[in-house]
Amino acid sequence: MFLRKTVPTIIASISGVVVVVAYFFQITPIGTLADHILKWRSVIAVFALGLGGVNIIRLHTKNIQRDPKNFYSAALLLTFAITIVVGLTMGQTSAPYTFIFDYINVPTGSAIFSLLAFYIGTAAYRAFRAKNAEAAILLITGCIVMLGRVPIGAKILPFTAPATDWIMSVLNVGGQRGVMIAGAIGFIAVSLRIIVGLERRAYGGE
Amino acid sequence: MNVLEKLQNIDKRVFYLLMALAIAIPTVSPIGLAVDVTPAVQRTFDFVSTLPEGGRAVIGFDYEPGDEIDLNPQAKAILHQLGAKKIKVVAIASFPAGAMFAEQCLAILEEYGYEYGKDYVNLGHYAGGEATLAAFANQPTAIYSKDWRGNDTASLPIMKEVKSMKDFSMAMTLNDGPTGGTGTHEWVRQAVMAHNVPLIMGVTGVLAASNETYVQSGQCKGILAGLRAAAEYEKLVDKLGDGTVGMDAQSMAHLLIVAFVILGNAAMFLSQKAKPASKGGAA
Repeated sequence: MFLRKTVPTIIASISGVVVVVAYFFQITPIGTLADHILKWRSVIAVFALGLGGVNIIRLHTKNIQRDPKNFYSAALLLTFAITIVVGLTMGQTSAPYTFIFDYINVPTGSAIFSLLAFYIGTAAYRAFRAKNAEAAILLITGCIVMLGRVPIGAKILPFTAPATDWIMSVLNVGGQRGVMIAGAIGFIAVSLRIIVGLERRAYGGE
Repeated sequence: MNVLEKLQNIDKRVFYLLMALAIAIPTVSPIGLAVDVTPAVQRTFDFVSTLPEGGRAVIGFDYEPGDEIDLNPQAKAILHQLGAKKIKVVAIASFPAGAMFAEQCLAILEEYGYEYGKDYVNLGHYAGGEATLAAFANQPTAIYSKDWRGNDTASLPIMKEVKSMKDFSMAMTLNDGPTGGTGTHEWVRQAVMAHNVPLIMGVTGVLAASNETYVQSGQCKGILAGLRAAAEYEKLVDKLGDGTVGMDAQSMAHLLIVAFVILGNAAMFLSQKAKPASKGGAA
């Protein structure tokens, strides 16, 4: 209990107070301490990356053990191993590593993301129906912004470009500010709870 | 099912086929639609134009392969402007892929006679998001002892000039959101609020909405949103590239979606209008 809850709470409290004080005030010893804490944070993040890698290997090894014909998990583990071996032995600026990135990683990532054009398009076609006033407003606004964002929109309906600017800078910003301010207040509240030790779910408790 | 009902429920495979054609045909055979420069992009370009010649810029390549199509053209266009002004560039990345993209994009600077290590450097990936960005802002070489190419950063001439974030004339983040990397909000907090360094953002189209607030508050000096902004910037720097090429395809894709939305609604209204009439006829 002491090591699982109390020690992490003490570390979080000290780190939180020091970093917040260093952000707002120029006090050299506290600033130096805050720098050390931030550097430690980046070291811990690197360990987290390593843990992520180990977790991927464990998960997909189990998948293959359950179903030896699981081609996707086998492909993932194989490409994972090849990329790591190439990166570690030849370096991340080497031609083979760059080849893997340019001709496998980037095209597959882009291909998956590009599917959104198809899914969002059909979703818009089915969901954007002016069944009531609110839906009609959403539909018209969406169509204006979609046209105003591309050159052809301004050619077909010239008013869409300035209308899009107005929608984005007036209507959108008003709503976004409310969301951001509310989110920031919530963030401050949670941070304070962690710093004073009231929020223990962050350490895996209830 | 009558024609009006069919028009409200067109098979999604038909839409997929049309969308594929709408994107593929203009990509293979560009239409050459003229791109007008919007005020937001012009403002960003004007801000970069005011930077002192020989100044320094830090650019965060905070994106993954899925958003490369929007953000690589933005990066390349702005690097042309920085190169022409002889502004030294330090690249960092909160995603491992970002460091690879930085390496690709920074090659542009060699067209302007830049020398690696002296005029530009790719420091590579850092883990830890905002906390590491904050540490970098306080002391860059403390986070990066080696650059992406394996050189000692302390030995690089460009890094000898950079003691903290304050030594940069401008910060820029090319950003696809905070998931897994450093988001735009974090850059505002660590570059603008903590060190008073002017920030510009290059973001994907969907992130423009949430970041417009920073432009209006003055915390962000300019924002480039999506491929459209890249195309406009290419026009301003007179270096047409992937942004301009992609605009035709994006125009056709948007037009197709709007056409389908209008078609679906028109069919819905006409079928609603037809229903009372048929009931009346039956009575």
